[in-house]
Amino acid sequence: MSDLHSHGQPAGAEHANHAEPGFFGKYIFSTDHKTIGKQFMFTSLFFLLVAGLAAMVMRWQLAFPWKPVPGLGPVLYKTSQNAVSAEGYTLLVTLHGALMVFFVGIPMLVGAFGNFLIPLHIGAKDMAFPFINALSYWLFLVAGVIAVVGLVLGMGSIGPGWTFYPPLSVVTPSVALNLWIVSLFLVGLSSILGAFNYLTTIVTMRAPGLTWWRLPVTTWAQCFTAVIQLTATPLLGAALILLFMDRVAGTSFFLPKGLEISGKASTASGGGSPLLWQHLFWFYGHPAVYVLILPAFGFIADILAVFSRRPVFGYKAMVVSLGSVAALGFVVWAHHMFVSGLNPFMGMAFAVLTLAISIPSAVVVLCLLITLFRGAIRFTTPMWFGIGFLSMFVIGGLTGIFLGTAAVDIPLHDTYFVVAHFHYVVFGGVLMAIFGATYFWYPKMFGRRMSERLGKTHFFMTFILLNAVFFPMFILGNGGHIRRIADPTFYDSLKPLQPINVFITWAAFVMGASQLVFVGNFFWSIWRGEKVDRNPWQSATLEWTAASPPPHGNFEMEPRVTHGPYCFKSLLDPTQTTCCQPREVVHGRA
Amino acid sequence: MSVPMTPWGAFALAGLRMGFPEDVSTNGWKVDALFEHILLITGVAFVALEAILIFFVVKYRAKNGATTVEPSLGKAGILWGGFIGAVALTLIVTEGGTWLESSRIQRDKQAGFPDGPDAFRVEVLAEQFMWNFRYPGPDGKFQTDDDVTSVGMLRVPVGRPVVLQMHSKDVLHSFYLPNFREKQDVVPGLTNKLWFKAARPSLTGADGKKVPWEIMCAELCGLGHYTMRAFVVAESEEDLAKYLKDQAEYSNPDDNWGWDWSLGKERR
Repeated sequence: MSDLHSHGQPAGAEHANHAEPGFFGKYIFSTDHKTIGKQFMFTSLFFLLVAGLAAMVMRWQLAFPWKPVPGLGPVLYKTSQNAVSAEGYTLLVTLHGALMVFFVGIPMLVGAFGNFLIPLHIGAKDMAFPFINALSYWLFLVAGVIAVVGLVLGMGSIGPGWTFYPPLSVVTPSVALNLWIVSLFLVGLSSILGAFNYLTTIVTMRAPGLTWWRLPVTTWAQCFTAVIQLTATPLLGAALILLFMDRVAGTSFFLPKGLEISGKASTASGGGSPLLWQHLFWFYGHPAVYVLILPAFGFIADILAVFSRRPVFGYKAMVVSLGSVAALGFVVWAHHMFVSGLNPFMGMAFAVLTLAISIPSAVVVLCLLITLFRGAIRFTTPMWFGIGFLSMFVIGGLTGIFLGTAAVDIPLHDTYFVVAHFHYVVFGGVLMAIFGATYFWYPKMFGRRMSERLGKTHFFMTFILLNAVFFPMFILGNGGHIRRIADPTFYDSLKPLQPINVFITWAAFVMGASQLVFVGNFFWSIWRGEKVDRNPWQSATLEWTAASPPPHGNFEMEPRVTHGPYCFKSLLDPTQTTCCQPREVVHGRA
Repeated sequence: MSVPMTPWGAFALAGLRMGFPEDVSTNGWKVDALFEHILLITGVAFVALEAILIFFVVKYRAKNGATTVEPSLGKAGILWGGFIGAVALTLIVTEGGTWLESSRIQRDKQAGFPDGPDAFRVEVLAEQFMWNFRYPGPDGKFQTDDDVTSVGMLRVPVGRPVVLQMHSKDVLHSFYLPNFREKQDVVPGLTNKLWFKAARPSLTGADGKKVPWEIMCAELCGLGHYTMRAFVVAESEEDLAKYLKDQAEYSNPDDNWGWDWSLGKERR
């Protein structure tokens, strides 16, 4: 198999001179992109468990307000009779959102899979800047520690929600919140360092014969994601500095004159605007949503292609559409601000741009769907997650049309309709893709595969229960159930809906418990999983020509690419390399 | 209202109107109609897509040993390409339609902004965690001694446009009237406006009191966010006049808040 791609010069000659690194060099302070990818993966898995647990406690409080939390109550809420307090609830809201976006979604999709896959997908030995790559992880880890340490040591709470809207995020004194701002700044820095490294690597280090149109969709998606990260994240960094100054140095970037907080006149000089933060935050925040979904599209495209034995349908159209989604993502931010007092005519402009995104998104989804046409589908665990992604992401995408339509958004804004919408995108979409990608690339990462039986159990439980958890939230939202309230039973109009909240909570508990199947499978398989050879799924992309797991330097010989990423015929008959071959190769570019 | 004992009861109750509470405004039906319109379009798209997906998954499952297929789709590929193009075109047309309708609703709302003498004007001051209301009193002017103030209870006339001018004392709040399909953030430093018209009066409960609708704060505003509730009652001009007269006794016009309406432009 491997010699199909390996007619080139021996690679990794300089690596041969290295002494074998010790434990610390190999697993801790490594500059190997595969190790760094795994470090990102384990760190964000840890945060996934923490943020997931926060969601469980939140669900308990919503179904049974102010009742002692079973199990965790005596540990976390000693001072409030083992029940969640109002402060505890705003902390949970903020922690769940901010951790999931900044410490789970982005590092998992980009840090873990981007790192692990990009050099392998393009036939490179490592990233262009291995040291900066390691720095990016260490910044991320330090950020994680800073974020957690203030809360653990009781240096105040964080409660303004993951969007950190001022004035609330400015006027609430809390050292922990200051630390969070520093932490998010470092996460942003880590993203920027990663992004320019990825871009440089993809642009300059592709193996001979690997033209742009032979890149797997996953790598294309990482490429667009890197552009977004590089362009949007500096905005977040700048905004965070301003917010930090407002909190500690008495500036008023986001504060108007004459505020009166809890009966005390604010000493802020004023002249700023809370809306400035919303513009800055969402100019980063909306593209950040596409940082989550674009890599997910990429994984799913590769998975669907491999397990239906079909090249991705409309590969080029799909790549162009992914690029369009990334570009349009920069001009829709104000749809988060339809009710903020924006001029309604401005709202109309942002509404039409928002709705425009649905067109390239629809092209991507339909290309993924048609990839299955005339395929020979093998129902492996990654494939089930691929199918699950397709069926669930659609709900998230279509409900976006309700919210993008400004007039309809007005009653739905900040209700559970929005919560349901973006959880169908990030749970039904992004997390399904993360699971699928984990099952899919696990053999390459660890040389063993995860249990298929447990994997499928995990899929079906998650698939059914996520609908039980998130679909009823649409009904709650329509019914006027606002977000981020600690006690829905406070409202007479929400009392009839309370049994739905209870139902969601029980479903969420079962869903949360079923994730333990994944965690168990993941760790059990590292040591006990079935050993695999180089290409257990019979995929045609480059990473599967390397050993499982690939050694330092990845490929024994520098790969030479003669066909597109989904040319499955080449696996059976190495002379058959013309299928899915882009036209330029015929003219001799390879 | 009776509380259903099971989730199924709650689902059934909520499902009757997709969960929406009763609409008591004169404009809310437009929003509801547009919601239903989008639900129809997206519903068709959803069912079609899932049907195709299930069909493909069943039809193209690998049968014993068939692990590879011919590389090119040939004509079928072109047809599917055309299908995607057709879907994109349909999206442009249908979404263009919803966008036009949404914009028309918003433009009409702007054009219809009541700035004449007919409008019933109220000032709203949001603070952690309550809603203050201020009525101009008999002289029709704000910032005078006969202003009527209240906390947590907004009373408006039926069938007459109500204009709210809103300020916030401290942090972001959001004035949300589920039964009127209205929501407006209250941003410190800005004067945000909202207008609506009640289509029917509030009912009178068994205890002789008017049954109010709820006003919620939709923007996280601190620890007491979930308690930031107020009520709105729509009633006849006579009942309202009587209420304002009674409320004058309890109000504190010297309480130093409010602003000169002539300073702000009437239209947002």
